[in-house]
Amino acid sequence: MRRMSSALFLVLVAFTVPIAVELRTVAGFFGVELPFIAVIIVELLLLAVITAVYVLGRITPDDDEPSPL
Amino acid sequence: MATFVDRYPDEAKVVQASFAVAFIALGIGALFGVIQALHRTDILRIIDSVDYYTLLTAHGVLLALVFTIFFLVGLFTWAIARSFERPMPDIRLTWAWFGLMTTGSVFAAVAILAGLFPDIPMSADVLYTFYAPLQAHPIFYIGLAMFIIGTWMAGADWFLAYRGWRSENPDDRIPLQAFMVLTTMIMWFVSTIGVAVSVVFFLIPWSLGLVETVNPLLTRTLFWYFGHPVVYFWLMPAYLLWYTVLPKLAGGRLFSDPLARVVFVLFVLLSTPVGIHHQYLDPGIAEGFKFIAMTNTMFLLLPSLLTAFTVVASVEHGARQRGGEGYLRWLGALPWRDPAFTGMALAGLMFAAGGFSGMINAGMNINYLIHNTLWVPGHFHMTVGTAVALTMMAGTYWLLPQLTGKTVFSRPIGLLQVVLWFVGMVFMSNAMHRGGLLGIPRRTAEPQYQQFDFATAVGSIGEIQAQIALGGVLLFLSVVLFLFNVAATWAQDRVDTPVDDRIPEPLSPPSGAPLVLDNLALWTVIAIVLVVLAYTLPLASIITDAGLLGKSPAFPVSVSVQPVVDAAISAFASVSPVTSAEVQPIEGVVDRLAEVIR
Repeated sequence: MRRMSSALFLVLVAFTVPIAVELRTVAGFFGVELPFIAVIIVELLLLAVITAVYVLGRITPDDDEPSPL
Repeated sequence: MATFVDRYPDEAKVVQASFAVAFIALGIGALFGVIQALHRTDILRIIDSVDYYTLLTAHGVLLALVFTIFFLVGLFTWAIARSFERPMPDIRLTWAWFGLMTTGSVFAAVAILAGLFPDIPMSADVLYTFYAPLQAHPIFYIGLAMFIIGTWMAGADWFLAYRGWRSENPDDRIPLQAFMVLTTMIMWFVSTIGVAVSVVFFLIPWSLGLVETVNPLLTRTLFWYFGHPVVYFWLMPAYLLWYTVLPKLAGGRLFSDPLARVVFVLFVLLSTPVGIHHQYLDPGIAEGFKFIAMTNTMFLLLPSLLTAFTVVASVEHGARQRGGEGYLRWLGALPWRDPAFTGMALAGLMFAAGGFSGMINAGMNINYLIHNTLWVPGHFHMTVGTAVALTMMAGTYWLLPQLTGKTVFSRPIGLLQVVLWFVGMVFMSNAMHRGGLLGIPRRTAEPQYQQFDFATAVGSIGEIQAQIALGGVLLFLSVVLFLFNVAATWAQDRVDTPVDDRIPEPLSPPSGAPLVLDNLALWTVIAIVLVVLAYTLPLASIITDAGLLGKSPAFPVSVSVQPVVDAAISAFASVSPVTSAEVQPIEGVVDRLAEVIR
């Protein structure tokens, strides 16, 4: 389990805000009109998922990690 | 360990003075920015709508010209002294161009701000593009001319330093930072000829009453001949920091020195023969010339994409040197606590988004959709307003300790400040882009038309306005934090080693770059030839059509509705009875106009 610094979390917030804002706009292009509160919910979801993946998970196995096979 | 201020104390004073002027301009410009954001969104109105244009002009001139260019001259002086490892040839010349630029800036600022005081017979509400036939007080144009001449003297100062270095190092490659400074200044010398001719030969005599008329299309074209390269003049200091400082802050080294040189040479060649893409809707310029400008503009994507590749590769190298692994996990190993690194990284990210919206501006057909709408300020607040301004603020956290011998007052405040800027700009520029797509005009205090509703695809106009206002307030708070942090840093006591100022050698050294890249004379000649090819026929056509001095008298700068009322009354009075039967009665129109006056 990796530790996430407060600085990295702050930067993560900065990175995810535009994604949350734009996702709502993209949804509107497809006829799905989300209320503004959806931006806040998407932002929180994005933060939760990315933080969980970073802290708990690994996207690729380390080279020195033994093969599961 | 000795840092820049110990090695070059005289140069450090000039750089500090340049930064001080830049930051004062930033503070005033940002204050005017938040007042405008709240005014045009109708959330808080503390000024009269007539004064909006005075503040808009001051905002543009103080931020887009004074803040950016004063930071640039400070940064370039630092880069020249540092990379040639020698002081400036004559520090009196260095102070002379600083003094001339500062005096010119004060002249221009006084002329603009005098517009807020009706008792003072002076104004310059001409916006930062100073399009004729809008006319400013002569002091405004004279100040601009002094400012430009000051930058030329600064360029001469740096080329003299190069000549001194070259005489002692005839076979060496030009150090990368110095190469970036010199190529940027070649571009600047070539491009500022346009605005210098416009200001000195047309606008100053016209504002002094020596000539009565001006050719608006000619002066606009000469402005944009300079106006697009000035975008790169803003960007090149940011590129210098991204190429040479960001990899170091990330813990690594620049990926490729030769690639960086190629990028700067491409900007010398391609940045000037493209200005007509700002004039797609100007009548009087043939469509073919506009098409050529669009094609040239698209070529500019190449150096931008090369930069994205090189800088990201360098940062990834740094992250892996710090123990980062995996396809994306290396991002977590970067020094996000460092406001200098984080600010520059966020600025680079925003620049990518700004580049995409810039392609819409550059596309001749699709530009018609967003021309003169709120989309355009949305775009340049992402590019010059973030890629450049945020990089400059972030770079200050690394440069100021070298220039003063003092550590940064608070890195956490610095980190909060750069993140606040990024988030604020996300809200503001996103809403501006969306508003532009709906046709909301730029450069107006009253974007809401009477009896007209903008139809939104998503959300509402009120929501877009709220986002603009929120973004503007966050940006202003960010500037307040920045200025506080900088002032507190200046007030600190000196320490022995305020910052690690070493810049490591690139992974791919300059020895791998073809020697022709350092042939500055060759690139200058090619740049001039390209400009001649791109501009000779359009300018000849414009002069043939309306003459060198045109036929347009000055348009009154002081905004008053009375002349409009008089003109409307006389127009309606002269209209034929048949036509007047189809429009509202004259009395009704006069009443409505009188209501507007009130």
